[in-house]
Amino acid sequence: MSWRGALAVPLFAFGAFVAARRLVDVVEVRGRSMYPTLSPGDRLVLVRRGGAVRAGDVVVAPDPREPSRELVKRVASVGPRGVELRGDNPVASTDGRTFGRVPEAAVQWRATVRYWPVRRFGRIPPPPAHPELGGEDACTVPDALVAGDR
Amino acid sequence: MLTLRSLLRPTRFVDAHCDIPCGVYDPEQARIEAESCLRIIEKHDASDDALFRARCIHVKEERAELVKHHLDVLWHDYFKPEHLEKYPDLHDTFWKATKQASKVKQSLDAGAAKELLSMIDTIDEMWKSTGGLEKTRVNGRPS
Repeated sequence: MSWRGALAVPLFAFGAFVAARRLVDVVEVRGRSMYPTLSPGDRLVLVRRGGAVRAGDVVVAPDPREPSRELVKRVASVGPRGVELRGDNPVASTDGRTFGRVPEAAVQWRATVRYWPVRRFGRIPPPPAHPELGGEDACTVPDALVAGDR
Repeated sequence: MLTLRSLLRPTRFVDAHCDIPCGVYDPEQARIEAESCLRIIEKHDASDDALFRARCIHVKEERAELVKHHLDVLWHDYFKPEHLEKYPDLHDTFWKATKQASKVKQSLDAGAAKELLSMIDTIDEMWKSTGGLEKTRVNGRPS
């Protein structure tokens, strides 16, 4: 193999890596507005949106009030005026109730799988049946849970 | 190199965000801590007990830090651009008041603590004249 060939292999790998990151990405959750579905420290695989945004999806979109920050929320509904985002933990969530609907085009990523912590590996579960009841004080994620995940 | 580890390392944070602005912003919080600083300095000066004096210094520094914190919260979260139009010296007032709180933290000067109180009172006037009292206090708590 020529030196050009030797150089091409890592360059190609790097290019493929960069390209793949535009379609699939991994992120870490911060904050408690998606508890009990997601806890702080959970790591998720995101997939770039191909088709339409569907109600029930957990998605990542920029905060319309502060676009440099990306929010992870569940799609409550999709309508002609945009997408309504809500946290699964409504008492500890700032979401569409405060900032209104976001344009569908702003929703570029869908969360698919949680890969960390390993013992909760799997598809992102559907919303809790009665989020407003929330089990214990829904504002507070039990410390043991958070500590255990870290 | 491309390792599994590097592929699984999160590239960024996504926020399951919650801000709950309770809307309660009150200079009294800073004032009580500043009053505490002044009284502690007085107690410090009146005592011969080295241990008590050391405790006074420690607690006064904590309280002074809280003054700074409460003033910062008022500054960042209560006051809005339209208030700045009404009080063009708003930033300067806060900057000086928080600096004064640092001075109280560093020293045992009762005069500095009194000066801090009067600066907080200036902020209190700005707060009152921008409707802070009506917005904040529940069920007509006496002012």
